[in-house]
Amino acid sequence: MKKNLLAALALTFVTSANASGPNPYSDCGIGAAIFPTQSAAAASSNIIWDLGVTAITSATMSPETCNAKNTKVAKFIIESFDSLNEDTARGEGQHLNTLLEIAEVSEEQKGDVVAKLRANVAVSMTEFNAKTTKVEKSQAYYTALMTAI
Amino acid sequence: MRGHSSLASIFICMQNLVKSLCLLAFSVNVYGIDKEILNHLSTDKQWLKLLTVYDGQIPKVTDGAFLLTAKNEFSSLNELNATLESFSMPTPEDINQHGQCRYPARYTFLERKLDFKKLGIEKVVCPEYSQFTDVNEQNQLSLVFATGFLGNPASYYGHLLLNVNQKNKADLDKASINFGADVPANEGILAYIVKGIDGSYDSSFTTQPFFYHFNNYNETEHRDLWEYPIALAPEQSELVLAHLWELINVDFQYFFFNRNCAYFMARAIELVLDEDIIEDTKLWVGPQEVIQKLHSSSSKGLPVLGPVKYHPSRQTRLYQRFASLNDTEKKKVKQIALAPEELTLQSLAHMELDAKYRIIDTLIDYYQFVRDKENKQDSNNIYYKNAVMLRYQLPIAAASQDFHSNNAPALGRGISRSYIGFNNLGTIIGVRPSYYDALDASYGHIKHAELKMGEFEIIIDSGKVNLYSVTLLSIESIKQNYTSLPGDENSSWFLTVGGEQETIDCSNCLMPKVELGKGISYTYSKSNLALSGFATAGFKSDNLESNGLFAGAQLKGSWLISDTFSAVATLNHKHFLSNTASTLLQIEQRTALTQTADLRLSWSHDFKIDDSKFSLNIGYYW
Repeated sequence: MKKNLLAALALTFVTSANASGPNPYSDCGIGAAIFPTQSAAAASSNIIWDLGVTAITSATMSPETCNAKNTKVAKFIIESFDSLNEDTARGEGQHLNTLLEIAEVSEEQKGDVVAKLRANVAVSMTEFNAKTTKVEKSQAYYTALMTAI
Repeated sequence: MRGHSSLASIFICMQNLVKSLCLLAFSVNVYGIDKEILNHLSTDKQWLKLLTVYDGQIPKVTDGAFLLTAKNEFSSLNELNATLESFSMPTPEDINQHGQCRYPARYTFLERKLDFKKLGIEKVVCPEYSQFTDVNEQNQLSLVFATGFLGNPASYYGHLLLNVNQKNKADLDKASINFGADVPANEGILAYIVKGIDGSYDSSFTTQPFFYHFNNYNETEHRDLWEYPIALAPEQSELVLAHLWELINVDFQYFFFNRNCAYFMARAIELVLDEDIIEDTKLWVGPQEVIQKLHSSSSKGLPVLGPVKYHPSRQTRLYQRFASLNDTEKKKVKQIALAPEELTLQSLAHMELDAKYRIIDTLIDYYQFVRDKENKQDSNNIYYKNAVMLRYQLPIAAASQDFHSNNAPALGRGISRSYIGFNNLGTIIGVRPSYYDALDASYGHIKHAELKMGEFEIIIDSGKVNLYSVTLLSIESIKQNYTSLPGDENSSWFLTVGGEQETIDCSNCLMPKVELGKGISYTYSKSNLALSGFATAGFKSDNLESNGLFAGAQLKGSWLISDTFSAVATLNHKHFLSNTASTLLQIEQRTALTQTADLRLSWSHDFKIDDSKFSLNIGYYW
């Protein structure tokens, strides 16, 4: 029963990341602009990725999706994904602290948000496999964060 | 009406004429400032630095947009007048383009020297600049040193960044100012090197959040970062920061050796220092040199650099975590690395919770270090994910490891070495402009590695002076494989380009030599001992005939016995296309006499000619 619940939650995160719901990676063009080939461009993204310039409008996005804060959150997640994910697993760390600052999570909220985020990401990770792209992982993490806040 | 307009025009003309005559008569400019004051200000050292005139009269900027006067009309006085004029111009549609917003450092400098109120210059609020410079009162800036990276020629000597400690921002999100060459995408490595050296690239300051650099250096290139707060008085930091703002995206001509990140970062900071730390005449300026000079500099009686903050790379974290495990924990990590199906909480069930944390954190670092993220077939990607998932299954707890290193780049010797000594053949005088070899790799360097450029030796033998050896470039990259875990690579390589004597018994038989080696290394005794073996190939001859081509093998041992003593032994065999061969054994020992001096003894034996050479030299670091 517990396993089924986890699988359902995981599916929710992955599908919401890929299809409906706030998704700055597809709606604001972040993933496409940064990782056009999903591979070699990642190494040079430090150079070409300029804050703000990759955001584009989309007919499907909600007005909030591409606001400055959410775009910045999404960019930080994709750029720091591994370190951020490790910090989240530990429940502490400078990447996680930075994310919470960017997302404007108050000191009082932090404990609660981290606990929820940790639970959400742990569930979404069960669906990751060798073919899961960095953009998809980041989308799942972003959704987990927005759900936790 | 027309007549009235004509009269008005005549009146304005006369007014201008009178104004001009007055300016001439009383030696004042349009603002009524005494000409002598302006002249004096225009030659102020700080004003010249603000114009990037560091030495002589020519600005270092090559970007015409930075200067307000045309190139052929440039003088520090004309630029001063033009700057003052821009400060009182009406605000443009984009207020951030107003003179005061484009040149906040010039504004600050002139406002401190002149009475702007009296001159009618009203302060303009600059939103973008204000946001960028909303910094903490103390330690507004930090200087970050990234250790050298032998995988990229532009990074051999390390790199510098300036972090802006903005208020209400987490450390990784703060703005970081970088200086680098603007290299076109897909530039070939040879063009990259040649153009970097001959000044064909533009370069500029750019700014990005620190996390971009942090992830690139720490995670991708495995380079440790050292962050030094710049402890200047707030008004000094404000001026430096304002100047950097002016310089962002402004083009300079880039030269790899002496107009590089180290040079321009140092120039920006020394704007407020009592003494310059860089000279334009220097042929080589290195990032570590800037850190060292700032470390020994003071401003208003206080040290310029504060206590360092260490950001270890992923590789360093893995090695330090692994080193801190007890034998049982190390055994478990090795067991899992060899049989990843045991990467489960069940296999760790008998261990204390703290041990579980340490083992899993080490495995996370290990898999992250060895995995090929771009290769979907690499099983380490899945093992990495599994290790992270295990951490999620344990209760929340921060990583307990306290990372440390004594290898701080501000400490240690200067980057250049001059030496004098003798061998069996005569007196040797040598200069190594940069940087280190396996014997003296220390603070800010890579253990057992070598990076030398531009070294040469002359020999005085029986009253004759000859060029004895030349090392244009010598790089040796030794991977440490400290953990001995699968995939913790020990592949190593070296490249030397220069000239050496044909045999050890000759002092006037210099011939060109290029040698490349590829092999493996093993490290022991807490990485203080490295043993390497290489397959080698190269060319050594004084003519371009194929007989100079050779293939061979090299064995090398490098032992860092203590901070004072080190030794290297090399056995090098070459088999030439001409069917001749040579085998040379060389043993060299170094003793650090002081921080700036050392003594080196070496003994070589050439088995082909059955001759030996002994040499001794005393070196001075500067």
